[in-house]
Amino acid sequence: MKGIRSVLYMHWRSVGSWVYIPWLILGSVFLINYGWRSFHQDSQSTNDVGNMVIFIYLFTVAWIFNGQLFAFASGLSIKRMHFVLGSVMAAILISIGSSLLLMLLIVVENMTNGWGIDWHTFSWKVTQTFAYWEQFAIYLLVFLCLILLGFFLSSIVIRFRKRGLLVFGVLLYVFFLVISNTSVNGFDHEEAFWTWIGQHGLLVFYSLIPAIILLLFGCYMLFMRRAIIRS
Amino acid sequence: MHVKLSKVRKAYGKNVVLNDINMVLEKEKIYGLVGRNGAGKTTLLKIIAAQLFPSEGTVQVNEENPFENEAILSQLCFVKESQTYPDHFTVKDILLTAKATFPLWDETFCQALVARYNVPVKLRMRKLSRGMRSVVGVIIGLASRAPLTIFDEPYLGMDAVARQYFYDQLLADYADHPRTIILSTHLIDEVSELLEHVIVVKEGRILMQEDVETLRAGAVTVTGEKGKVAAFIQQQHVLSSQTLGNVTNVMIFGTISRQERLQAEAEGLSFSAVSLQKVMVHLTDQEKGSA
Repeated sequence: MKGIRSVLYMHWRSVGSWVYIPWLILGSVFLINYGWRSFHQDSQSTNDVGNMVIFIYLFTVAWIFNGQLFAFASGLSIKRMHFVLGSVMAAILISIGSSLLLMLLIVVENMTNGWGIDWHTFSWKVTQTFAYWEQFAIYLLVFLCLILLGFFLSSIVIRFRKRGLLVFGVLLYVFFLVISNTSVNGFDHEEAFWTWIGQHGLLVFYSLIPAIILLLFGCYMLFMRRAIIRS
Repeated sequence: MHVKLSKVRKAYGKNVVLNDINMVLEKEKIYGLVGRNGAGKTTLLKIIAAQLFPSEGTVQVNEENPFENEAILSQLCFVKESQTYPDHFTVKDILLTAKATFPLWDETFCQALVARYNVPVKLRMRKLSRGMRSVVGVIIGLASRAPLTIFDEPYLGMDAVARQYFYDQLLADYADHPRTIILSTHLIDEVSELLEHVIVVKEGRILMQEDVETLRAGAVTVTGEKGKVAAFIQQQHVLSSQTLGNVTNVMIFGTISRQERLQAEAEGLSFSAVSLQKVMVHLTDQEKGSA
């Protein structure tokens, strides 16, 4: 268990990259946008996806850190499974923290009627009508999903080198090609299907995202189990 | 810690890196692992440290497979010259993480080494010079006090003074806290005073495993008249030979009894000691090594 604590400690020592830098970037984007919008106000309510920057940033950091921290952890003779579990625990903590911060900003955004200019940048349009706890759950799942996706893609590179990533990309492309082809030609009631998805979007989300998270976690664990450092 | 490798083979496709490796490392001894570049030393060490998987054969540390074995891995520290560190980590981050990882970590010793080597702890690792990066690895290896400590050419970029301080500290700390140490190195003469046992690797195979004293005693240079030297070395393992006029200088490796030596000296032959470095060079030399 000491290995898991060490990995958590490594992520803690990386708090600048996990927390400070992404929130500084988000803050800067917010301030620039706020300044610009304050001078170019129109009567319409606006809603953008300004918070996407933090999701993309954390996904990228997860991808980079997994490789770098694994090489270091391996040098310290930390068990591979301890590395995986420590990293996933860090991902959960970072997701919870980031979601809480985002929720705090959303609450302020709502209380100030969109920062005084009816501008909603931290909340997504589709989730604005949801209860706060539901929004928190959605952000938490999306953060976790993206961080694990970064870990998973990095584990493909560690285990199978860049060629593995290429194969994965091709397989993913074929998968979506088959799915899209099937949905166009295969379903007699295609329209009804998409209508149902539209009506039960939240149910689909709550079922699909945890399933993807579990799948990513499983594959990440599987690939890292026999991962080696090639330096 | 006790290490045992049986019939270990490692191949990447058709490229065989290690073949038929059988060796036993006893606990609380200092081993030197020597061999030319590409001989398979690092691969062998990585297999012992469970960072690589053997294609065939078994590895046991304290009678257990080290792969994903916390009881073994927590007692093992592997310092290698190719170690990479997270880009954003400072030296302080590295040392604090090592401290949090190794159960027998000696923080006082670590701080003493940091001060002695004048390590800039606030700098990021990637900003350090090659030598200073090696120093950080050496500090981790020494302060970890891991019962199985492996150094794979840890001194790259370190100057002679820094290297000598490392050897001194290693020996002093080993005396106080005996542990199994494997030191892979090219600078054999520098570390010959540290080593108790030498393992020579050549082309993926173990060429020789000997106590340092046996190696020292076994290797001598015989100098004298050509014919007399030729007669003397008939039953000996010749490592190298040089002839100038009627005088021949031959480096041999084997056992010479006191009586044989006295008799040879009476016939005009002279004997001189050979450095371990020279013995290794000739043993591992591709053309002459097979002699």
